[in-house]
Amino acid sequence: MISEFQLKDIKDIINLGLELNPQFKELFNIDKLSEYENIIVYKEKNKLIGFLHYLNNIDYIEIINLIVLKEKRNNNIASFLINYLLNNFNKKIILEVRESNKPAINLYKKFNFNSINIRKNYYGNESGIVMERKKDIYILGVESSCDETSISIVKNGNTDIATTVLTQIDTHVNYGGVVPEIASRMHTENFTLVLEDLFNKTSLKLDDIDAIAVTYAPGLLGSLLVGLEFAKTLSFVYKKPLIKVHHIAGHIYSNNLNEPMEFPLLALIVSGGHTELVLMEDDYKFNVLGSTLDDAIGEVYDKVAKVLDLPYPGGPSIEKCALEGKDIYKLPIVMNNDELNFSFSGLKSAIINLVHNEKQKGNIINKNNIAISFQKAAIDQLVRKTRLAIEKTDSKRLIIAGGVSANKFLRAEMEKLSEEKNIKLSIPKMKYCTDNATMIAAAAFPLFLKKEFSEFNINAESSKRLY
Amino acid sequence: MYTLFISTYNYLITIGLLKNNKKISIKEVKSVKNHSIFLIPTIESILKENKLEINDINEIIVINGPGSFTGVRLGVIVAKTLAYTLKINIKTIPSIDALAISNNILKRKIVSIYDNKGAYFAIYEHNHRISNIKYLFKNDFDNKYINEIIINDNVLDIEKIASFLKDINSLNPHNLKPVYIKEIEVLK
Repeated sequence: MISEFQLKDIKDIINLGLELNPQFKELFNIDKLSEYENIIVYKEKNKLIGFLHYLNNIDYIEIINLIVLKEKRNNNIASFLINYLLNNFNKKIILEVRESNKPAINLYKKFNFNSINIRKNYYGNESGIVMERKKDIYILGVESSCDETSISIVKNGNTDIATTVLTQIDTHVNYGGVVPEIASRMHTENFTLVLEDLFNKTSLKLDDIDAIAVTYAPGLLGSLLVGLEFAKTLSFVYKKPLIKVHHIAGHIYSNNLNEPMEFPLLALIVSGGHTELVLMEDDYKFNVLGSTLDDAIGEVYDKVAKVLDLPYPGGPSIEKCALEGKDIYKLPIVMNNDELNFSFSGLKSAIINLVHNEKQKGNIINKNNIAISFQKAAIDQLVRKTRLAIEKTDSKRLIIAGGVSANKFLRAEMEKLSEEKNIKLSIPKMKYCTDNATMIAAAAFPLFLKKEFSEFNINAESSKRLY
Repeated sequence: MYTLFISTYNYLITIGLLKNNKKISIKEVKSVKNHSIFLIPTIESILKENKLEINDINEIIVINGPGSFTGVRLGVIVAKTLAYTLKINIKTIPSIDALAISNNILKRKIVSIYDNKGAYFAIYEHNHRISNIKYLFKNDFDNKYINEIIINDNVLDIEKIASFLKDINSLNPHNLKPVYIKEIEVLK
């Protein structure tokens, strides 16, 4: 149990301190404890097991002592005490530790403390290491580029604190696709409700947020504008920096929610508007190796679904049918060459011809069989080109990004490819594959660190490219 | 009591500032399809020039359409987000009513707002609207109301508007919606 110390604990605190430092009694004087100092204690059955003595400055916390009873170490008690600080203060924390105290140094590293300075021979013949843990950064993301109204809070670009996604799909499905004007109207009606819902999920307040991030491109212009104006208003009222984020950067950085991306890496970007292989040397450094010469992969799924009279959106519809189908159709192997570009229009035409011929012959079309043959051919092209890109660039890491990364067949094939090539693979969790604001807040984090903030006069752009 | 007035229904962004329902400042910015560039910056500058912070505002009045769909939406999303986050009162008024009130209409007149294909309009008498707000294509509108007095003037009198809304209850910002009048093409 963690609690603030009481006067009756002082004797135990001093005894515990003496285990570590024979001069502890002289160094620690309860009467000289300033109003900024405090001690939290950890007790088991009323017995003091450990304590943390800290100094609470205006803009940082200094840990003065963190001591746990010898026989109770390795029981996460120090972690509980550090977590208490993290949960109660969002401030930078600094401390100093003996160079030889490896268990403590490793524990601090686990909590993202980094050594920033060495005090030579601070302890007589031993040096002290000064360690610092930066303040946590909370970014509020706003996304409305298509038919999802979403707001999210992400910590340090990699931890989803709270997210709300309100999808309009049930409305648009009646029209066989997203109706831009309806999407804009629904975003306008729903943004404050989504904001309220989000803050019902967390104890954080808007004042605790460090920056407001928003999708400014690409997407439906009217929808983007509503989200942008909403985000600008929050930024204006709460005096928080505004960060504009490209939607595709959001999809890429949703991989940071698995574990932080390491560079260089190869990225396969697959969505309704994109099919690209990109080499990333660093944050926001994109080198496009190949892209589609005609339709994007998500687009061709939608078009084939339409040919087969399957409901919008095409991706999930075709995937569902393919599960029941037999792969009996021979479809052309498109782009069977040494290039890294993609092409899907040939495959689309082949499906249209196939359906047409079967109809002319008076045959009943088995949608499931067509769906699986199409899906195999389409995903096969993605796998072939990705394999080629891995070989050409000698990549050791691969990430998948974009709405189509939700496709289970694609995910399974990419797992196989990563085993075959012995490379590290990251695919966003299913819930981050479709549009969401979590990825926007995650993508804003490197921009926050670089202080790439926007003014209130930025505009939305419907077809701006990331690279 | 400070009131922030927001109008974005046409090619003008009008931002007004009132103190106890008396106008203290008004800014108009011409903006064709670029409202997002100017809207928050204009609010920011009018407050700055009057040495006010956004937290000093006690009430929002917003024109919630009809007019440019996108223009109206931007005014409405800013207004409702301000009202929601600052926890202050918000009142809406249709563009057509705001123009009628600004013109002080006693004898029967039609107030209209043209767009590129037709006109939003309503009929007023003794400073009251006596018809619904409607939309007609230009030829239909011109033929039907050929013998009426048409007002097509976009000057807003924010004091008259504020005083008209004085006794009207504030809305829950979540419920604030634009008034579109015109149907969406695909739904016809």
